[in-house]
Amino acid sequence: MRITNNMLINNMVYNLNQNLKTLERLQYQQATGKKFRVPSEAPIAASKSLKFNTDISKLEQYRRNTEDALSWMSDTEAALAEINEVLKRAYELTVDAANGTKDGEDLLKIKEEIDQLKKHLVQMANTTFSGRYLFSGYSTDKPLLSDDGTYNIAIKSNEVFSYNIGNLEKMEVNITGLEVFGVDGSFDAESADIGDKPELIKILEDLSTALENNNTDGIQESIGKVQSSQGHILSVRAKVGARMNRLELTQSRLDLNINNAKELLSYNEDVDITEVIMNISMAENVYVSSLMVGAKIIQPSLVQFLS
Amino acid sequence: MDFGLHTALRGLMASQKSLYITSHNIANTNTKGYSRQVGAQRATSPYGFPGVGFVGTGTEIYNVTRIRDFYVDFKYWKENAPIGEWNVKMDTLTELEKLFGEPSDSSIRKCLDDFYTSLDNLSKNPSDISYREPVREKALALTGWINETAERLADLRNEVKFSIEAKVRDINSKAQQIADLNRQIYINEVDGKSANDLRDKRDLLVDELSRIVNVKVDESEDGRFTVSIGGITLVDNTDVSVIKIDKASNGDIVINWGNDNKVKVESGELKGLLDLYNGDGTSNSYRGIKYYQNRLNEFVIGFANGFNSIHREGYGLNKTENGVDFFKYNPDNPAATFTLDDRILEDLSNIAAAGNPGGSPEDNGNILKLVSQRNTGMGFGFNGTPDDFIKSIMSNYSVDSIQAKNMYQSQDLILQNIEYKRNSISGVSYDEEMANMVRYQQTYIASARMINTLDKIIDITVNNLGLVGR
Repeated sequence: MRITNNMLINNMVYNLNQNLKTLERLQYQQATGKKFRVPSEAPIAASKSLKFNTDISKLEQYRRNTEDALSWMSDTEAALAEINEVLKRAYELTVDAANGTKDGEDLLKIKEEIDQLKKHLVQMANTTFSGRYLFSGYSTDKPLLSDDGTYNIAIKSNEVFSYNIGNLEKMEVNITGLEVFGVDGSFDAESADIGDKPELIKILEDLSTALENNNTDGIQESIGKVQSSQGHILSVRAKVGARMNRLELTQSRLDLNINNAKELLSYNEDVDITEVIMNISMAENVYVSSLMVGAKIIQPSLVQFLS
Repeated sequence: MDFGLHTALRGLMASQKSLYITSHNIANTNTKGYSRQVGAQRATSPYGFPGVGFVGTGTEIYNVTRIRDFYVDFKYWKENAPIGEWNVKMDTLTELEKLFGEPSDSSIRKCLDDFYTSLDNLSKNPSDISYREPVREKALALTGWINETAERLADLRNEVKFSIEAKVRDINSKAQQIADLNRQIYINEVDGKSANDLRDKRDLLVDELSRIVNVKVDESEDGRFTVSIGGITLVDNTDVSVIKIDKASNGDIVINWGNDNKVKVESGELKGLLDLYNGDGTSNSYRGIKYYQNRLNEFVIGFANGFNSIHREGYGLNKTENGVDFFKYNPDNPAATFTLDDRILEDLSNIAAAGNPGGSPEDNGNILKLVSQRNTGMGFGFNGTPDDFIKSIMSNYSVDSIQAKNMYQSQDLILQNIEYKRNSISGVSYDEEMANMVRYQQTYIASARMINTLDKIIDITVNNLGLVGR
């Protein structure tokens, strides 16, 4: 085969170009730390990246949701704890009043305190969490109880909202005031209207009336009611506690998932820098040696040796 | 005596001509399409001396020919067309890939993630305007991304159209140039001598033409040179049939002959461009730009309708009536006109977060449904979730882009091999030309020496013989 000068030159240029292409790709990888810049360089990895990115975005959102749910719940829990304290104090006072050694004046003093406790209960029912009424169901813009202790809003027991804490997993966040305060002698009512009297308030009001009238039977009856309502609040607190527990578990699971997804994403699209640097120096060697050889081959011809 | 001088002179002249040819070769080493030339040399007719025999009369260069293998040319022209086709496909698809912006933070995936994050956030405080605002903003970012991508796809398709127009003009102009050269070559070759440099020029034009479109070349015994596309002649010796661009009823571009018959474009850049412009991926056609436009429209229609269907069920803040759409688009051109419903744009409280009439502040029932719709994919007009749909578009263009790249690369190697062969046959070698140069130079010197010797003989005969009479 005849070998002509242009063949040599074309060949050299083509090969140098190929070497440069390799170098350019490696240099891009080193500069960005990413394996590919368009999906066609690695279609499967690119489509995995898509999924991992979305997963991470979702998981991080769920993580934020659990945090927000937790802070809502811990405020709920604190309010419930205080309601419990109120009932505990009411119970002590009632037992004290019922021991038969108190005269009317003493009972009136106790009544005063019970009335204060009732007011405090109304305050607790209207606890807010960053401006939203904790126990108002869906109507968090309005207080649950009005000053006289009746329902300020119509509320249903199903006004419970949830947050997403997983792809198909939701967590109920709030406890409705209806569940806490009850209505019409029950804590399981499905709805209450404006002006209805909450059960907890009614118990204290009844007690107050009994104390005022020195009605021993009424006071005796109230002991049982206050005690059972205290039990009820405890069970609601247990419910909130169990939810918080579950949320905390979910949170640590989400943390783990986020870490995993990030690791997978990195494994999927990040280059191993050591490997890239090694590859670059190899490609560099090839490039430089092909330059050297090329320079030696294309330069001389018979032209240089004729005088 | 004269006789010998003439013989020497012919030698001198032949060497000189050979040197000119060598010089021409060296000068044209880097001329595109040039094939090296050699002089055809032969001994001139001998002179018969009675009783002596034939005495040679010297030498002559009777023709100059170019070294060229038509078979290699034929292969080159055949393989050049596919490389043109895959080259334009590769370039355009790479552009298309970059336009979709994966993997990066300016992709539809990111827009969708942000939008759903803002929705999920809203579920935690549905009554707060500062939670509703991001939903609208992120939704606008999503629709904006789609509008822009639709526009850039349309631009890309338009660019392809301009390229088609340019290529068709190019074909017609090259055909005319070939026809002109045919005429010149014909005139130059009347006496049977080969018009080398003009032929090189013509072959170069066919080289260029063969990248644009599939051409077949034929040269008959009597020197008629025809170039045809798909069996119909484009150049018939000195005649040219031009081709033109027509629009089909569905907006596709077709290339026609002057008599409105379709040009059979089978490969070449023109074929690549036509595929990219016309191909919508249906009935075995190529997945061109139109295909991706259609897919984007499909996404918009499916996504908007699916999202709206759930959004309509919900209630805005303090609203007792539902039925408000979130997105809207113009069915004639969904992707380019995709935006938010006016009611959402005007009043944030129309975002239907609540699941119950009245739209209580903390009712997030409908938002939760909207968010979980992304995971279940229920109700969207396409199969699966929006993420699946985006992924399938991506895998389409990445696979097509790889195919174009691979085809281009393998075709490039084939063509390189042919070019290598062509260069081996027709290329100029310095070593060879230098050796020839020395050879012709020596012959020239020797012929000159011959004249010198004959001159001395004549000198003796004329000046030094018969001095007696002086």
